[in-house]
Amino acid sequence: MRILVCVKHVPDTTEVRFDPATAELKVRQAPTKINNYDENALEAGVVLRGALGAEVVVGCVGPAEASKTVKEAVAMGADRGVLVTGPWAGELDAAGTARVLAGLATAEGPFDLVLAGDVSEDGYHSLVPGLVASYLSVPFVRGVSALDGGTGTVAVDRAVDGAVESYTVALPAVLSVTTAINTPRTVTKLQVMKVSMSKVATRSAADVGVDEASLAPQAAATRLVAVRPAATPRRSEVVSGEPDDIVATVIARIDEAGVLA
Amino acid sequence: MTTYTPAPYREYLPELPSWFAWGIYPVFVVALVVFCWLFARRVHRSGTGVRELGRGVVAAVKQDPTGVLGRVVADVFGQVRVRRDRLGATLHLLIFGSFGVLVIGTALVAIEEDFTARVFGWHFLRGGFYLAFEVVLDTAALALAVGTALAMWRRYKMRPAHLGGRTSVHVVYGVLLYFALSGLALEGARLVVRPVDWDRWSYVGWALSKALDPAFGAHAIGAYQVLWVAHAGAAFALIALIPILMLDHVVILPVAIALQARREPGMLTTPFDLPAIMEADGDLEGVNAGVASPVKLGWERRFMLDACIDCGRCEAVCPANAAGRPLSPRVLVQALGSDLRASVAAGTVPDDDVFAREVLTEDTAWSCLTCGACARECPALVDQPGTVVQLRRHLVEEGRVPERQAGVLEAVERNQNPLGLPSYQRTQWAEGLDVPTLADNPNPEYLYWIGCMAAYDQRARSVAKAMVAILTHAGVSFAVLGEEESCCGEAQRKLGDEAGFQMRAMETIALLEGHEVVKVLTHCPHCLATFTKDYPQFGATFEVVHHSVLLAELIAAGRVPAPAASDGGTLTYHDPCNLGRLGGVFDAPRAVCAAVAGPQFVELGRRADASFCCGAGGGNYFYRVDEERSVSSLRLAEVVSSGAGTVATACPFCLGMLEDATKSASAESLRVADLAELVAATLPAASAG
Repeated sequence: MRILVCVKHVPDTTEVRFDPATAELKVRQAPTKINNYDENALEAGVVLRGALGAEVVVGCVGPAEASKTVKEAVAMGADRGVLVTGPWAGELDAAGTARVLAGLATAEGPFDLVLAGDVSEDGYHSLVPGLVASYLSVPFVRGVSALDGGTGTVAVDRAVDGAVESYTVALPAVLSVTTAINTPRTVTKLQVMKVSMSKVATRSAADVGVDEASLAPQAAATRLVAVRPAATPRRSEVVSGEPDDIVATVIARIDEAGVLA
Repeated sequence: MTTYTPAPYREYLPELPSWFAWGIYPVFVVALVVFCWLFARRVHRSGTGVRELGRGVVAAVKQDPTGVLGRVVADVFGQVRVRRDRLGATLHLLIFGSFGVLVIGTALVAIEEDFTARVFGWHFLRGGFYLAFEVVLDTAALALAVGTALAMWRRYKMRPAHLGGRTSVHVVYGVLLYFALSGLALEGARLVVRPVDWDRWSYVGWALSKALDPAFGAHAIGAYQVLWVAHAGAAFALIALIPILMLDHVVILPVAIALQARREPGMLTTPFDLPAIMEADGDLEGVNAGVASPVKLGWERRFMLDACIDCGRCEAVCPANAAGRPLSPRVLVQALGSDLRASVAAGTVPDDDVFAREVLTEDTAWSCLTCGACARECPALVDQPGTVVQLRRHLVEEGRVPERQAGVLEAVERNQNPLGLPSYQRTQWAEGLDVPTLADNPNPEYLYWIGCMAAYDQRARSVAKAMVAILTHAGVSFAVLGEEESCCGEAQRKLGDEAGFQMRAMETIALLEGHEVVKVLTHCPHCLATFTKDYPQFGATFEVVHHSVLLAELIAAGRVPAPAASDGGTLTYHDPCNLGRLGGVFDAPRAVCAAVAGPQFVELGRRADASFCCGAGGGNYFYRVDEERSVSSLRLAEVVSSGAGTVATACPFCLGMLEDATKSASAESLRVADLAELVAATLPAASAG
């Protein structure tokens, strides 16, 4: 079995700063890291390899410095990693990213299974895994909370609003996983440093069969043009008096607002 | 009976065959040979050869002759570490001292009879010196009996929980008592068969002779001969058997002390040098940070673990143990020692680590506060905290890091502070204050390193603010790094993330050297210890000054007023482990306390290098280990019992731990303050900000 795990190189959300004065989201200088959700996908791939015997390849589309994310993913247990990069890499929309990943899956493929995290910490679109499946014309299940390998198929659970659906999915397929699926292993600096760069290949868009011009920002179907703070209307009221009265008043206010109904 | 009155002396081997005089030497040689053979076997059980050991000791002595000598003199002859536990010290000094005196006394007789008298015809055991000799030896024999009785009383009646010990300790008690009693009986018998005018000087022997004389009756000479052979024979047997009895420590510990003498307290091992490997573009494959099994340790550390004699002095002072955590440094070292001996005996290196083989639990490794209290007590100079860190490095390398500790390591990696707060909030504490950065003051006398605690922790921020007010008032030239400052990596190193720490150290050293920093000022003993003990291993050369030292200097020079506060009530001082025991700074904080509180300064029971951890050490500030009572509440109880209204400390971690403890112990009337806060409060209102 051959498994491709897609990982995204994202700005560290704990270090992203919103400047209220200029209404500017300061993402650029923020340190970068591997997308948390993709760590679960990778862990799932590595666990599946242990059960079935498989090759786990990490695929990433991003700027040149994303090689550190690929390296970290290899340290977590992948057999090797491929980074597709180019001058266009910083400005891709979801569709562009998915096209490059699909190209990568084909060029390095064939793969039986493509795994990814359900969402990315920076974009929260949840689009790329589904688009990759559509470009590859293979089935796709998102929200996967359990995964079991079989012959030619995989059995997956998908948790939705208080129910768990179980599917059998014919391979090849794309699955995106939730954080409920496992606890990713911790890797330390030394383990990451021990990963030989020979296990991290770098490719251009052309290498994976994608026309670089089609990835230019002007060619993108969607473009992020502005970010502004969303004002959340808040009501506040200070209730004072004896504790019993306070409790009664607070309960009455909650009932009035109907927030718990 | 003598018919003349010569100078008092003792007749050599009376009533014994003359060949005894030389016959004891072959026996002595046989005893020595057996001793050497057993000693070599004893050394081999840690997988070390005697030659290796010898070369190691010679190398240690060559490298630092005075240091090693000083350590050996202090710890072997001075019994510095043994002396710290009062009862243990009393009985050990009685036994050690008296045994030493008796051995020297016996040797003097041999030297006189078989050397000075034979070669030069010189008898020095004569007259007044001889009489003193008799008094001293009888007293020593008594002391030996009393010391042994005390030891037996402690072990069999008092049974302190920390007291370990091998089975042979019971044999040793018997042996010691036997020597004391048989020696005194022999002395009595001698005085029966050879009564002398000066017999009262051997006061115990003389008293015994009065009792033995009628008992022996006509068999006095025979009884004397039997006693002599029984005493001397046992002595030779003891010499031969020392290496297999618990008495082996009289030879093993001096060697262990000589080997470990150069190790500074709190100095951790450096399993690899990442900056150097990277510089040389070297291969990291095969680079190992941690230790999975003691047999994989270097021979010096293997010998060190095997040297532990299970005395339990470490356990008695261990804060983790006192709090009911699953850690006793004694049990840890004994377990590792047993595992080591088993591996060596089997001639194999186990595939599994000590945790998989259930020699230790992982919780044990995470329970340590790296406060160094155990290592300070250890008469064998075993490095318990360093060993714990070696085990943690292994766990970290294996990715077996509990969630909370992993969170701390990840926070340092991602946010450059162990609190996990955004790196861009590092300078928030200084908002609204006039704090010069290196851009404002490019050549300051002091680069004031704020540290993560004062930068992020709401409580600790006031320490930095207080220091800024003091430095400004005193006109000290200083600057901060501001946004450029980062984490020193202390938590990474103590939690076992060695590579992460080394990278951080490399970056911080480059940052400080890039700014040509000569003198760093810090109020954080954790940063201080990291800068002074860990960073020099990676080439750091800058000087580091703790704020307590600078505060004491400023007060002494009259640059800050620090008048004795009349209404502050009594003040006491809690020694932070990293500043005191591990950093050796004891006087400066006390000078500051004395300046602020005058005669209202009181000391805590456990203080200076015997201080008790606040519970934050070794990264513990950032995670919890299951315990019966928190370490901080144990320390707080000691503070409360001192009756002080305010407890000063000189560490932001201690500050946070103790203040939190006041809340959970409902002791909020006790004020917890940093030295800087106390001094800043005495500044004129304008500069106190």
